[in-house]
Amino acid sequence: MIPTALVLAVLLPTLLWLSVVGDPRLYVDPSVPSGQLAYVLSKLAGLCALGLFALQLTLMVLRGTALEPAAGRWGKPAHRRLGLSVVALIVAHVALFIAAASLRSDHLATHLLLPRFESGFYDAMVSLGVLALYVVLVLVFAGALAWRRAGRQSRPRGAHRLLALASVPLIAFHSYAIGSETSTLPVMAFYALLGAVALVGLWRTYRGARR
Amino acid sequence: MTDLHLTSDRATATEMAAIDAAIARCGIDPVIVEEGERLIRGGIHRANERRHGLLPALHALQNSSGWISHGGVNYIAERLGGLVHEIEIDAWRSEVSLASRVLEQGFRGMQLAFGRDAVTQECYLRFFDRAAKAIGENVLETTSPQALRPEPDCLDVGEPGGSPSADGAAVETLPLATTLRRVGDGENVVFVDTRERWEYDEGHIPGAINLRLRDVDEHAAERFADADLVIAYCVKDFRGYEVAKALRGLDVPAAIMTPHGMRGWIAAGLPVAGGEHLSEADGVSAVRRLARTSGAAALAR
Repeated sequence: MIPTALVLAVLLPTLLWLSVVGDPRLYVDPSVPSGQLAYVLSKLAGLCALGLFALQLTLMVLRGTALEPAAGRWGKPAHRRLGLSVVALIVAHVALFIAAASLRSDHLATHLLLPRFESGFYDAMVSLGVLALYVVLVLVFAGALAWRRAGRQSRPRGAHRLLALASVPLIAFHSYAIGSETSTLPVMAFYALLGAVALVGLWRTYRGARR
Repeated sequence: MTDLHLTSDRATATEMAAIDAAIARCGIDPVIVEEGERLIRGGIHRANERRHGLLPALHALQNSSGWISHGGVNYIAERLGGLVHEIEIDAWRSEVSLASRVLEQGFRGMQLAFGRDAVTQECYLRFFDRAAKAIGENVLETTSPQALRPEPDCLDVGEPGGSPSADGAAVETLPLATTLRRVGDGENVVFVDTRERWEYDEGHIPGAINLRLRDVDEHAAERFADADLVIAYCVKDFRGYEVAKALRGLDVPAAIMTPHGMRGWIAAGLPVAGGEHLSEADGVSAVRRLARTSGAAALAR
């Protein structure tokens, strides 16, 4: 079941992207404004990251429950590989967007990496995504520390889980607020599901911490 | 045009000899270096050398045939490995000559003022005519970059660099000044704000309607049945371009503008409606008034 879910987590966002973008080859035409190709590729990376992130979160929340056998065993190496794939896609999403903005404006748009909440709605929503990036990078660090302490309950592991859950509202609201494809009804239903999974994960983490 | 003659794409033997001699005097390797090789082998230093060979080469070309010929410029560009590339790669180096800086700033200034994708070949030709004249008179270093910029009427001659390709679905990029001129001429120009509702409510181009990419369909396209021109925009026109592309697929005459998006509109000092800005009616009046007066031409300058 997991291999199928993995394929779907990439395939569905890609199909959604293709339905909006159309023929991607058109974007290499010289008449297309600078940066547009990087922009649409950034969207693709973001959508695929969202799909795989949701899968990773779901598999982790299902771990140790009665539903796990039906879903399939999801070991730590696989968790790490998928997690690093998500991070790579998120970094690609950010890097491509900065490249697009730089090409469009003729200057290096690294200022986008600094969160700004006082200069309008759009900048604030971009900043939410930037915060999500930083949260994800810290959770990777915490995950790496937890990996070294395998088999034991540890603070890094708890931080890894909490940061993963904390990134859900940041990522979801960022993509809902300014994503062209991500405010449609099916994607809204996906967010609702993701939110429910995150709440269950939060509850399980809380219960685990009290034991 | 005074000095620039569009003749042949190939330089004459006399022109080539003069250019070669000028480049050789600069101590530049006479071997033509491919772009890829130049970049991959860390040819920044060599690129910098070649850029310094540009002005002597242009001088030599002017002196040899009396004008800056198209073929001669092609040959110089070939020999020097591409002036524009070199300036873009190497612009931060401290030893860039003042003349190169004037030329570069004039060139960039023209693209910024007119919109990079909208500058026509006529504009470039006039720009280089002026540059060549300044070189010929040996005053390029003391010339203001703005003085190299041609009059905005060059935008009306020929096709812009970002013009649509033959498939008809490509999105045209119009200069802001041209768009305003068309508003002033009484054409039905409809602005479409492609951002989210929250962004639209903060401030938008007066009279613009809010239409997001996911809402573009045949029913939405019917709203533009009477439009002579539909300008789709967002913050930097990433979403604007996508909406314009989708609308063109539905036979709506949609385009985007340069400078791009709401940022370009605001940077040009044009009125904004909604939120803490003007009322819709006041904003529309302000845009029309500006478009009817000399505002569009002033903007382009």
